[in-house]
Amino acid sequence: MNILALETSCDETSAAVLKHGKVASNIISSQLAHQAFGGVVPEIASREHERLVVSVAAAALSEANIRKSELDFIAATSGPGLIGAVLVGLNFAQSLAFALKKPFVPVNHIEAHIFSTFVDDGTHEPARIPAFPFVSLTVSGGHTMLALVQDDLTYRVVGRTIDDAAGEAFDKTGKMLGLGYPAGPLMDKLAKQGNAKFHRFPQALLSEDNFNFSFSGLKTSVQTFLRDKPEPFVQAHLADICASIQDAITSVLVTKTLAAAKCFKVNTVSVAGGVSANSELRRKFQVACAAKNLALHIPRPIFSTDNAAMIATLAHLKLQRGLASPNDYNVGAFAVFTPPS
Amino acid sequence: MSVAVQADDRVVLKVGSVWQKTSEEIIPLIDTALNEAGLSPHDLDAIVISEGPGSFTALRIGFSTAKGLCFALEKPLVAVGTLDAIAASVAHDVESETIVSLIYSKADEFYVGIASRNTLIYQAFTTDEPSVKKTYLTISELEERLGKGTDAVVVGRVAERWRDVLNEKFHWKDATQFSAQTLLGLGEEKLRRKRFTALETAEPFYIKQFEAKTSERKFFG
Repeated sequence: MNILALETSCDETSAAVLKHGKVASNIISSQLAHQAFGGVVPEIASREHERLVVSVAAAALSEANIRKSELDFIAATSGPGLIGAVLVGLNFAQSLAFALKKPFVPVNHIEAHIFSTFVDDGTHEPARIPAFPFVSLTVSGGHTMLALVQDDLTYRVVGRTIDDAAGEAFDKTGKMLGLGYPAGPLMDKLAKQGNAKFHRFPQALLSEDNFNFSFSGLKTSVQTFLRDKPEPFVQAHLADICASIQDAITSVLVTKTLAAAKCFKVNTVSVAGGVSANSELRRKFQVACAAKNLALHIPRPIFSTDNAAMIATLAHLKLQRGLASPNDYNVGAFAVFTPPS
Repeated sequence: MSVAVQADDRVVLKVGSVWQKTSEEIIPLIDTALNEAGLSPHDLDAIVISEGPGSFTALRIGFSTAKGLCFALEKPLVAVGTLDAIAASVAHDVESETIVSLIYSKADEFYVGIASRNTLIYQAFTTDEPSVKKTYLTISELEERLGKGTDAVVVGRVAERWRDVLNEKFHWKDATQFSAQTLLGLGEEKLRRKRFTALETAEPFYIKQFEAKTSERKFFG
């Protein structure tokens, strides 16, 4: 089974080919055009996707050394995401599938993140695939969500952010520190030289009897903290402040995820989404899961950021289980994630 | 949104229902048009797309879909200016020397194409000279541009509320004839002269550069 998948939900134009479940190519073109604006500008993202979509798809086929006629299925993200951005990949993919007379498989971007720990690039043993049921933390610039995942690929959302996403908390507080966009990776790097105990930023909802998150209070707290600090002080303690912010965000993510694992009596934890590339988050999860004897699965960073290999992988998992319903290339895009009922 | 298929001398034209459904309807509409024309996608020699200006998202739905077909079938993409096609759709039905084509943008602003009727009829698309001058104007700017007592015909497809305004100020004509079918003739001419649009770089003709504010907010430095 050969699948070509497209992903254009935010600011990455990506195409991947999966040959018999294994990644044969995964091309990601990250849009740099947004940096000057301090965040992703939807219209610019859509224009960039339109400009790049053919080149990226062609590169994915060529790197996988596969002809279009050898493809069995075409998949694409149908949402959630920036609607104008989703539409580019979705329409291109459906039109391609129609003309090649191949079935089209729409994929939910968030679900693809949940199952991104199943992406098989041939570098790991099958045993490293998460065992069902497991608790999945999806954590990115747009989403922070805990889900309980079953072996029929169904899942229940057991916790979500009630305001900002964790990745947004990194980017917005980083912006306050003048780190540029996106601030997350730089904050991770700076924090390595800092003292995480320098200042205690709030960890919200820890005492609540649920698995929801909140990061807007942290944002305000950082802003208040910085207000009366002279710039030389901030510059001198930049690494300490970064480490302290990072500690607040990552601690609450790990604590809540492990509490969910305990509550639902699962032995496996999976962490995905762009923020799962954060080195402190990975370290904390490794330590905590080892202590509780939980199996931990985190995808390689290339499969945790927005990428088409995870779209192709979920399409593959669904097709294997007969869960992909046929369509007439009339699948619409959607912007907002709706949890399954 | 409309789709036209030319099969030898026969044309099949299909029109979408509502603009909100463009993305969901476009491929089924292509499928229906091909079926009625007795064709399969593989029988197509080229895909013609209206390149804009117009709604940014609508243009991208058209381009992404057209690119998917061209990429799959390995057939050329031919882009035809939408203002050019609207002007050409009435060139044989009007007397005036100047034809102004309009596409609504926002507020009281329009994408505007200004062309001479003779150029449209006798030279359009047979040279590489742009036959339609394109710009972006408010209604009052257009009035100023055309001058008092102009005999220019102003043509387009606009919402009801604009029709009265335009009717009062100009020699207004509804572009009722304009559809994907209009693109076929113009596209064929470009195809004949091998004026293809490279798939790897094809983009809508937006006219307007998108303006976003650069980030100036900085707490330090």
